[in-house]
Amino acid sequence: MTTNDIASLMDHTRLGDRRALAKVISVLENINTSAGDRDYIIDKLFAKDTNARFIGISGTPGVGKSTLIQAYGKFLVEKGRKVAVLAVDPSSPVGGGSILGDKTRMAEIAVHENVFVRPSPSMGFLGGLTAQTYLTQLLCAYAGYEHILVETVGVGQSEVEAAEIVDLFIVLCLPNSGDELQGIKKGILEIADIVAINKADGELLSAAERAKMELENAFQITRSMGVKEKDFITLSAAKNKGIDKLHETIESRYHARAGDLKSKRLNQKKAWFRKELESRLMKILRQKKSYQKFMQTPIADVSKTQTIQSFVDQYAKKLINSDS
Amino acid sequence: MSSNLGRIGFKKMVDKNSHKPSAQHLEWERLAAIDNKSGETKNLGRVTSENITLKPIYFSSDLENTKAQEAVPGKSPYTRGPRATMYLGKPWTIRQYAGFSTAEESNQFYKQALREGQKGLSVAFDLATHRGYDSDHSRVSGDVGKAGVAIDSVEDMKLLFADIPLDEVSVSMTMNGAVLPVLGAFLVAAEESGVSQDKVSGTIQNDILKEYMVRNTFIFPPEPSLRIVGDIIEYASQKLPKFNSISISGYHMQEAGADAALELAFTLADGLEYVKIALSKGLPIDSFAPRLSFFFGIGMNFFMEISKLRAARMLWAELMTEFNPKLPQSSMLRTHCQTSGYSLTEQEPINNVVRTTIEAMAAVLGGTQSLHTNALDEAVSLPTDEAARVARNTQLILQHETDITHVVDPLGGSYFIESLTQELVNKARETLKEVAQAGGMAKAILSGMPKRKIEESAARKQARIDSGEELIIGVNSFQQTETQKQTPVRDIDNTEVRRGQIEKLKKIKSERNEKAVQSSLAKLTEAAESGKGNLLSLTIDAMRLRASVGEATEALVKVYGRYLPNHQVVSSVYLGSYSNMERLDEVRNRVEKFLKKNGRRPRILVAKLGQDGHDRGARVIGSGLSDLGFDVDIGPLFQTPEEVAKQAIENDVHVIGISSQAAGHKTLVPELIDALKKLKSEDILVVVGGVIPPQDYAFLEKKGVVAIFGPGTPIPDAADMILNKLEG
Repeated sequence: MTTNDIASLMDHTRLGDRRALAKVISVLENINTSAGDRDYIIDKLFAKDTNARFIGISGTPGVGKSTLIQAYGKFLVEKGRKVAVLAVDPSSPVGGGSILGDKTRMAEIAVHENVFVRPSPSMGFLGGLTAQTYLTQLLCAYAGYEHILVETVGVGQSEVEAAEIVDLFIVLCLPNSGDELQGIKKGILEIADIVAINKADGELLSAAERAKMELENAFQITRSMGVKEKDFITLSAAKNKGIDKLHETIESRYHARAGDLKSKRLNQKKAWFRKELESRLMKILRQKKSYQKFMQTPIADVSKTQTIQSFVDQYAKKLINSDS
Repeated sequence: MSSNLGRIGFKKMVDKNSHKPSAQHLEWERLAAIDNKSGETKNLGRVTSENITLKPIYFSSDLENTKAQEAVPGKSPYTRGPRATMYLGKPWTIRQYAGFSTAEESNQFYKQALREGQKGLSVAFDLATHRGYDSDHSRVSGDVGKAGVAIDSVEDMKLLFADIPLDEVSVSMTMNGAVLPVLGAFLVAAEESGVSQDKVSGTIQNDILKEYMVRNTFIFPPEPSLRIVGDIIEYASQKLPKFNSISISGYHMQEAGADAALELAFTLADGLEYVKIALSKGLPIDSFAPRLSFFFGIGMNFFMEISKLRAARMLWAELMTEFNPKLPQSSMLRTHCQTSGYSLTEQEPINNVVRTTIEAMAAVLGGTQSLHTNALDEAVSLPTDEAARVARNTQLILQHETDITHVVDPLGGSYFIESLTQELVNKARETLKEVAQAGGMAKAILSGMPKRKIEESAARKQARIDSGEELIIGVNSFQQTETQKQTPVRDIDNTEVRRGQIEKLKKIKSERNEKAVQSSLAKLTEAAESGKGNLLSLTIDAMRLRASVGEATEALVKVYGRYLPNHQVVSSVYLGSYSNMERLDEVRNRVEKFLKKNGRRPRILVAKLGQDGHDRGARVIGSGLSDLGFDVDIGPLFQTPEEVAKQAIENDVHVIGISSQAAGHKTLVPELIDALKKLKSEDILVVVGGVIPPQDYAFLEKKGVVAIFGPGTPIPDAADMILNKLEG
């Protein structure tokens, strides 16, 4: 793709052209995209600050993330807002392919004129998934979307990374108590800005309220240890209950700490920069003949080395220092 | 297969059996070993898709694990048949499922069929009616009159049954979604032709649970849908003594790829759920249980299908004891059967007559009460008059030219059939237990478990066929070499049918008492809100006043909303069952090359257009392509062409794959291509698969479709064709 094409696509994107936006996302996803094209897009995206809201939505599979996005997205478009949804589906480690079913899980808003839903496979991006998502959300803002809802894959370290690139990180939980909550507490709960207990309706209403209290209490204990401020709410995404409360909570965060946003955005950019740098370093490394050769040679003598650590160190230095 | 393997096979069989092998058995083993010296004997200890291991031969000792010795036809648990005399007095009812275009045209077809020896009617409705839309609704432009007859009101229903005596001819109606207005319109039409409600006989499918698993012609979410089922059972138990209030259907599960054991277990589990709903309404078990009927699919696994029907009766009688019925009819499973549409091939359609005959025999030897035999052209379209006649004659020949009806349960006591019956019972019990642990079928369905199991079974089957492990004559083996003769197909001018329906709707609406209609609809909405009153009774009132099917549905949608499912598509199952690894690697390498060259994996949106909810094909294809390395977007059901275009553009796919099973392709696919053009996205290619008559290929290609996949296209071949088109 020539820079001219990119320029024209970016112009159309800025004017809100759905097709152009989709194409530029693909350019960023494309492993063959030239550094020049990528830089052109990134420069445009960084040229101006945006008022769009970047909201991350996390939680274990089955907790109702898509249902919440559908309910909240509907709430927002009914207020006349433009909403973009970025979702990630796992790529198969075997065949490399993926099944991207997100639109079936939010079919009602997926067809709406003011909604843009883009599911992406989890593997195969230049800067890694997080860096890719960061640029895509900026791109959606660039295209005029005001609320960018980012659905995360829901487990482990990737969640910590995902939290670094959004303004607010919502963790969705089920109204279970006891051990399951303990597990959540130690992990991604720490990085949450808003903890929402889902399925707070019918039989589970009181369980949800109880779970909320337990979590709040647990939070009070860790609070002194410097964990960030959190809001706790209950809602029912499927029954459309508590969505207004969620919106209020989100908006009050933006209004109350308007000054924070600037530093947050800067931190997001830094987080992205680190990821991008890492991946470009790896790219440089991968292009070296010595690296390719090394990766193809069977490592026969690992077991013989005295310490694995020094063995790795030794090779790392050798590969970095080699010229080709 | 080596003779060595054969010998091991025999040994295992003997070891597994708790009984000591009989002298007969040992003698056979000795002789078989001599025969098998050269090693040519195949299929020793073959494992079926139900995971039942077949022995190479069965002996009387195998009956010891069964209840075959005590079984009597007409006596619980009815394994040998619900009635003592079975076909001796009266053979099964020939009941052909049909309906298309307008009520007038379908009426002509029915009358012809009755003249030619058919005994009961079975109505196929179009998808607009199924989903509770009037013909003038903008979402159904491609569906009206296509895969069944368009019915908008009582007036259409009266035309459908004009000159047919509804007190003599029993009518079965395949209706689940818009069950209230359609049954309501039928009862009013009967009344107005002089047949009171207590005189009409027939069956309404009214089996909503399976819709959430396989067929997707529901309207409301599961909970209110089950209330509707309950209201209908209640109403029928009080006012419709000759009418089956439900037809609990496994057919669609089999069509979606379920093996016999899954079909059996999930169907009976559905049945149990309905019994519980009726009981929860305070109905005594004997007031409704005798009016529950069943509906099974019959495929090509001849002995398995015979055994399935026997096992179904045995299990149902057993399951019903829990509710202490007093009437024997309450635990007697009576069933309709239909030969498998899935087993029909587009290639050499004349072969389908042979397939259907074999399946019909299995249904009859299994003891069905009524039967539909598919027409030879049904793999690609609605049957022509000629094809429909052959299908009907298949049954007449079985009834009149063979001696099948002369003896009750002629296969009773067969070592093999009795053993297989018992094996299926055991298999189904395992699944039934799993469902019970999940809290019953309604809860299990919400968890997605049954749908997942069926889809896994479907993906495995597809992989076995695609890799040539399962043979289909004329499709993946013994293909015809010379070019194929085109079979004539029935084509419906859908635009014309729709225009006529819209006119009729206008007329009714101008002639009715509008105030009375609106107040009857308001009552319906009220009853939905309050949970009180019988929804069928209230719908009958509204239909009598000439409310339309769409209006009666909308009155409930106001409260219940329209339901959209969101199940995950299974992955890696296709791959795991595809035995030709070389072929897989070949396609995968191509995909990797595509990725290297283009920087992205080939990305396809697999979508369904219109009200056609048959998504097995779409889901199996999607699952298979992702296993081959494609990025596969799955679109929601019931989309308009504009909605599909929007998604394809947003996801920036290379290609859209439209799966069409219900004849809407000629209207909807060109609309999709127009929508893409309008949005400057004609670079997105469109391919179509499913039930497409060869006659339509040229039309679709002219409209811009780049590839068409007929039924039976192996997924790796489809992937190849898509890549060919993408690479120009």
